[in-house]
Parts: sequence; structure tokens; C-alpha cells
Amino acid sequence: MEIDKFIKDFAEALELTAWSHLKPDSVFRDAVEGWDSLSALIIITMIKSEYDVAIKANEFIECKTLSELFDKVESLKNVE
Amino acid sequence: MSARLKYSSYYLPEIIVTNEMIHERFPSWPPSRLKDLMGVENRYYASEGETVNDIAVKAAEKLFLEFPIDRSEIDFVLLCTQTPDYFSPTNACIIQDRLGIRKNSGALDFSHGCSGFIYGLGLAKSLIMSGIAANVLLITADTISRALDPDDQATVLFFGDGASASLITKSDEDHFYPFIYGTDGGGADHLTIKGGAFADRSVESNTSKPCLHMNGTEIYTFSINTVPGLVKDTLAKANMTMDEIDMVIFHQANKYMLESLRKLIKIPPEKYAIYTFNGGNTTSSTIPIALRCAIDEGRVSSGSKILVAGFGVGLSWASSIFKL
Repeated sequence: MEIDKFIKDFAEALELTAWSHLKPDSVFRDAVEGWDSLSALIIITMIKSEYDVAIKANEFIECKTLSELFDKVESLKNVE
Repeated sequence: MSARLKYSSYYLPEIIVTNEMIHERFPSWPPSRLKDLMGVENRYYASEGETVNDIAVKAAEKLFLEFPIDRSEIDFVLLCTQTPDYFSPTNACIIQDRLGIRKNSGALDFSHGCSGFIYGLGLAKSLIMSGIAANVLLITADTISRALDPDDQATVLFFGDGASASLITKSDEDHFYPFIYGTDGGGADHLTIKGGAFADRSVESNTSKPCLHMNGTEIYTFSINTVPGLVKDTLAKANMTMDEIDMVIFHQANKYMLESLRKLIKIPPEKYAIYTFNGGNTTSSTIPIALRCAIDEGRVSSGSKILVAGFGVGLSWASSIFKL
């Protein structure tokens, strides 16, 4: 699993038209314009549907950057 | 001995809370967004002085009016509520009397929310299969509006009051497939009514009204991560595939969550119930309300196989399949 694909999945789930500024070290809540509580639900759903990973809400909240979120998904995937 | 769900009706109280009224309080939620994204149009609140026992009785009287039911044959009353009129007596006893149900019948309250209707079906089936009862009146009712903080967007957007009444009877053929129940009390704090009960009898608790608290992100995540596996297990336990199911009815929390679940589980829209527009999230009454809507629209009829799943407050989840 590659972080580039993860960032693409992340951007497509949110239906972002421009997302080339999203990098592994981007703090996604700041980098995504108009991020709100619904955006979190969209990403949590994407992680379940694309990666079959059940991330908990508090685990998601703890992740600040895209690479932190990617690493969390990877580690949960490996546990399963 | 076998059991079936024979008839179901519901009652929504008279005070209408429209999307326009919600928008006035929460400007970031225009009516179109509430309708299209969350699938809610009107919520219904019990009027002043109207209580859970009142709306429970109204739902049951509606059931008796709509279907050929001899109430003298009912020998057990089950009431599912989390906003009871009284701690004591058992509210189902009061309902027995108000409905003129015979005295040699059982009456029991039980406390569940989103999974409550399926708990009720499982209890009713068990009472019938064990020979304890032959005709069980199952009522779900909540006046959750009384526990809403008017400034809390996480709850006010979706929740409304409502009640359902169903008759589960002895039958020649068993219409119920296996049930599945699950519990994770570790998540209890994510959806709870705080205050008003005996854990805290301080003056502060006794003078402030009980208040519904929901961590929407936690509950949504729990649902997304639990329900796909629950559906898979329910089908496996019944030795069935999704192709054999005529309608899937989940707890109608909101349209956004229902659509996410539908896509995750890959359920075709034509066999999926979304009736959130009809009263919003009425806690334990959403599944029987959606069932009745699907019947009234002719989407299901006698013999249809229905998969039901409830999930939320507890945390708790429950599912089954039954034949109409």
C-alpha cells in the first residue's frame, strides 16, 4: 500500500477538485478547505470501504497529518 | 410452537418541527441540506402534557383500529422505552389498564433504543415459543424531544418523538430466522441520557432536566465498522444470501449513514428502506415505522423476507430476518 494512492483516495472521497497541495506531512484538517465533522465521517467510511480497516473515532482524531493517518491504517490492517 | 409478526402500526405526535425551524436555529443547515443529505423533513414532538404512555396507547389503539385484532386475546404487553413516565410502576402495567387488556396477562418494560425493536421481537418470539404467551403486544415509544438540548446540533437535527405497536402471535409456521445480539458497554458514554436517575441524586441533578448526549462521530464510526459484519453473520446464521432478502430495514438514524452502509454492504436501492423523512430518528420506533411505510408502498407484502438491524445506544446491536 502506497501513501500516494492513500492521498488520492482521501481526495477523491472528499470530491476535492484540486489536491496537488496535499502531501504526506499535510495537516489535513487545515489543508482541506471547509473541513468539518462530515469530512471526518467521509474519510472514516473511505478507510472501511477501500482498505477494510475499522479505525475508531478516537484513533482518527489523534491523527494530524496524512502520513500519520496512513500509518494508522497500515498498522490496523496488519493487526487484522 | 412458532411465532410471527402479524400487524404493525405507528403514531407520530402532532407538534411539527420543520427543516425551516431547524435552519433558524442552525444557519449552516439549510432545509435542502437537511432533506438531501440527512433525509429528514419533519420531526414530531409530543405536545405539552403528552407522555410516552399516551403515545404508546395511541399507537396501540391505532393498531386495533386498523387490523382485526381481539384485544381480549392479548396476554403479554412489552414496552420498550428510554424516556419512561415513571421509574415505578412498570409502565406496561399502566398501558395494560388503559388499553383494557385482560388482567391475566404479563406486562414488562425494557430499556433499549436503536436495537430495541429487535430485542422486542426476540422477547416476543421467546415468550410464544416457550408457551408463556400466545399474543404479544410489542410497543416502542420515546419522547426523546424532552431530553434534547435545544442548542445541540448533534441531536436536534435528527431526533423526534414516536411510537409503534406490533402484534406478535403464535403461528403454524415459524416466520422468524435466527437473531443476533451484541453489546459493547465500553462505549456507553457515546450516546446516553445524562441525569435524572438514581446514580446522582444531588440537588443539581434533580433540578436540571435529563439530557441526551451523543458523540456523532463515535456512533457513526461504530455503525460503519459493525453493521457490515452483522449483516454477513445474520445471513450466514439463517443460511441465506442477500439475493433471498426482499427488504433490508436498518435503524433509521439518518439518510447519510444509511447510504454509507448501503454502499459498503452493496445492497441494491430497490431492496433498501430509507424512511428518515417520516419523523427523523424516533429511536426504537424507526424500524417498525419504516416497515409499515414499505408495506403501505407495496414494496413488501405477505411472504416477503425482511432483514432488520438496529445499532446504537448501549452500545448495542441486534439483527434478525423474518417473513411477513
